[in-house]
Amino acid sequence: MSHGDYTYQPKNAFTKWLDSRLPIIRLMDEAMLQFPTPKNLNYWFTFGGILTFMLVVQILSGVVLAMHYVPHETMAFDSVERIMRDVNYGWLLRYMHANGASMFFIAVYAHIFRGLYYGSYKAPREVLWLLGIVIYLLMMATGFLGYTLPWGQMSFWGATVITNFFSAIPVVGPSITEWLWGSFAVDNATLQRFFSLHYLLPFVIAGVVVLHIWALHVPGNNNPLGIDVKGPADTVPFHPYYTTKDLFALVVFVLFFSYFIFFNPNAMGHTDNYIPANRLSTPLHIVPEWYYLPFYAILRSVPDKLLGVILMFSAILVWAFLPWLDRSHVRSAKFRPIYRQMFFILIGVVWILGMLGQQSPDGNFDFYGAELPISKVILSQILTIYYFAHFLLLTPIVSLREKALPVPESISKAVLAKKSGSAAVPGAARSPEKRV
Amino acid sequence: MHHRSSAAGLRHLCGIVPQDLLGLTHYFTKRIQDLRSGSRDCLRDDHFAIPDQFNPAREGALTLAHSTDNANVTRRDFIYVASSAATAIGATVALWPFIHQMNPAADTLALKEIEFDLAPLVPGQIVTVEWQKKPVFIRRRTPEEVKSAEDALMSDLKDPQADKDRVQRPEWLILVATCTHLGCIPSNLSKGDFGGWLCPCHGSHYDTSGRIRKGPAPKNLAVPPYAFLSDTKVLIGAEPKPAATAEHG
Repeated sequence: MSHGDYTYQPKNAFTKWLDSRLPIIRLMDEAMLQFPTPKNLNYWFTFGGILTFMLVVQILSGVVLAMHYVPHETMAFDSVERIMRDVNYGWLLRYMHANGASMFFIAVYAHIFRGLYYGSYKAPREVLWLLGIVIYLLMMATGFLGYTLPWGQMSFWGATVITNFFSAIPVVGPSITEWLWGSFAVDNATLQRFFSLHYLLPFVIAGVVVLHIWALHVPGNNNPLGIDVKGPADTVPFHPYYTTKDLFALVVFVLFFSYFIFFNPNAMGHTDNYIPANRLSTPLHIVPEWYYLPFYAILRSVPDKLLGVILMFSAILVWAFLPWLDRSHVRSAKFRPIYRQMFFILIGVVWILGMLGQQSPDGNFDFYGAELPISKVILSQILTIYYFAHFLLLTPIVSLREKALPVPESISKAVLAKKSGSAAVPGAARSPEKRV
Repeated sequence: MHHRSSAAGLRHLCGIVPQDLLGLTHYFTKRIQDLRSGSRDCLRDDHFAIPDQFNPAREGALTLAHSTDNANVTRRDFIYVASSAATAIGATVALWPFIHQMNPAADTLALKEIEFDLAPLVPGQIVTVEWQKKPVFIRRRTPEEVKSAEDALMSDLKDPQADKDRVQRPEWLILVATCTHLGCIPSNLSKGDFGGWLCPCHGSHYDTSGRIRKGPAPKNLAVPPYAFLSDTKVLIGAEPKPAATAEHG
């Protein structure tokens, strides 16, 4: 994707000197300021920037929390309480970090479903999509490791349940779990290594984010129409158009984030985690953090241990095959009437699976206070089957048989048609590329 | 002068396979070159001649100072193969301490045995003790509980094991209290459908012998090694003494 004839020209003696030695200003200029971006991106395309911001928030707040936190089984819980009560602004930093994790996942789910809706996973963006899955898996691991650190009851038993997933592996499973624990159960050794890895993984994520952005900059952004950029008329420079749009979205997102930090900081946590870990007493109802709930429901829907664990991991891994399962040449669901309905059904299915993961495994499904006449086990089995059918059966079949709506000729034409259609203003005169 | 006396049995590999390090290096370097060039020359009987300076039968065989243009194998090839092999093996070996450090340390392994006084337990009572950082159930079973455990049909069991193979003395049931599904502690309060335990996390039911009867857990609750030191003292973590098992069996 080229943006006219623009190239970076160092202006003064220093930048000229630097440019011939380390062209870092050139890189930033071309990647962040001049980068030609489709002119029709909507607010669903601002989550990438929000996610980058959240990664920085988590790393900064995490680094300072680590100055006060003690990763030891006898001191971890108390050190977190000390952060809350005694450390200057400790409460703010901890609430920022704990709710920041939830915000991070809210943004990543919006980002992933945006990709699913507009077909961002399709050629030529398969590697971009795969790197995104790697980042998501690393986020899941980091979130889980971090949730263990306060060493409350949910931390301890959550860690026990999750590490026991590996004991499902035939033959070597038990040795692997003891290796993970460094003991015969979740123990001090486990806590210390989890802290070490929880500190490490965000930097690994940052590394993969660089690859993710690199892989984005080769083909360029997808857009709500899902059609390729045909020429300079279809794009605007990233700055100031999308820096402004991303910043505005970020401000709104930070307001939402602030509501939780300042007014409802424990809404997404679990009260049991304010009870110190007790290895002789399992809480009556163990639930993971909300962002794992749909996968937890898939795990519990299967009566066989190994199969349950395999299905749970497959529920994410199946995304990796999506670029090749979806055979449709049309990217955006805007022009795919059947896929579009499937997309909204999938959101509903994942939502209800999340509700099932939240509830205890016995009895009938409780839909916002109304008991439905269907057992949770059966419902979660039906929805698990549908979830996999969506990706493995419906997507390939629909992508081959669906008749897509006509796709606009170019981004520019579609944008101008919309403008002249609504306000009867000659769009070309307002077109920003004339500015260049 | 060609070295072709040994390894006759391996000749199908292609030429003569030498049995010393220099000869082997030469052999594999040559094979890689053949593969790259698509050459099938090695089928020729005398192709795999080892150049004289690599032939241990010759004087000065280990002197690598001379070039070996006649065989197309240079000192650089030798150094390349030897150093990549050393790097690969070295990296693999160096990895092990980094992996093994995560396994239970010596002090963790040392927490092997605990002694427990059985005298205060009344029939029907269950206590939970900690052994190797894991909870362990000690249950003084009532005669009815023993009977129901012994009467269970093997065909009804998911992980078939007779009750007598799980206890040393029928009255005392000692189990690792870790659900074999995902590691929660089965509840003492809710005994489940089979009078044993019910795991609150994912609904596994265990019977009065700690065997899995219903739910997602794949195996029976594990029996730790233990030995009765006397009628009222048990040592958990000890290998059972022959006398203790003989008394039961």
